[in-house]
Amino acid sequence: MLIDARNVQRSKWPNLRDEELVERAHAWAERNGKRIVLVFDGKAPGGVVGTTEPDEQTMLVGTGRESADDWLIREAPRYPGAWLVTSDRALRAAASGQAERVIGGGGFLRELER
Amino acid sequence: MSGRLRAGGAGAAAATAWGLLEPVDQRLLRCDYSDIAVLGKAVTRGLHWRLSGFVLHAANGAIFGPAFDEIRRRLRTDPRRPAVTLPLAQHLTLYPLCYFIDRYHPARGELGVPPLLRNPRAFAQATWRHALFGTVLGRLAS
Repeated sequence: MLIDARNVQRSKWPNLRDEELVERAHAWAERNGKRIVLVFDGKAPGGVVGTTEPDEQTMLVGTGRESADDWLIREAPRYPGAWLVTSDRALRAAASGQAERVIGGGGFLRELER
Repeated sequence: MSGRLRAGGAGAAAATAWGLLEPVDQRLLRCDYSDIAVLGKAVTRGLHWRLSGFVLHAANGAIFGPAFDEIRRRLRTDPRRPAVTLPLAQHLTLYPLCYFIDRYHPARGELGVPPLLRNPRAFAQATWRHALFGTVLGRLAS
């Protein structure tokens, strides 16, 4: 599951903190047997620029100077059958051809809160 | 220059000042809500969203200015008073329409387009911006 992290964080007010999103998404992935790729504009939690895999189910990406949108559009073909999580219509249009399913940021947050 | 034309120019200038000063309240209130982004990212997601946002916002101001001018002529009061109260009344009346931005805006969740309807900081920002707009409009149009 490819997650436009900042978009999900901003789907709620007050915005979800970085660590909170990672924790909740990780718990959700464990419950549902999914692998998640959380893509952050700039730095991922822990100051990560680039990729890191804190556990088997989670990959964190900090895109540095590149936008998360551009990273997702470029990398999505490498994850065939992945789901894409974003409410950004431009990103959906650009990357949804590669995704099996597209979920809105707010909808995904509600799923995490169940 | 006719009063209506002057009021239109004043409205456009006031709306531009609003856009230029958005970073100040964004920083003070720690909320990235931007009307320039809401407008600009509704029409384009390319490099020109900011320019598009400013143009649309100035056009809004240019439409509001003559309407304000007409009302202030009829009221025959100190023009600065309706210049502030009218934008604030419009803000309070139309703010519930943020529901549609939260639900349908093509860039919702992106920078400048946070959830608005239940966001007290965004409401405070919008209130301050409308008051600023009215103050500048009142001064320039009088």
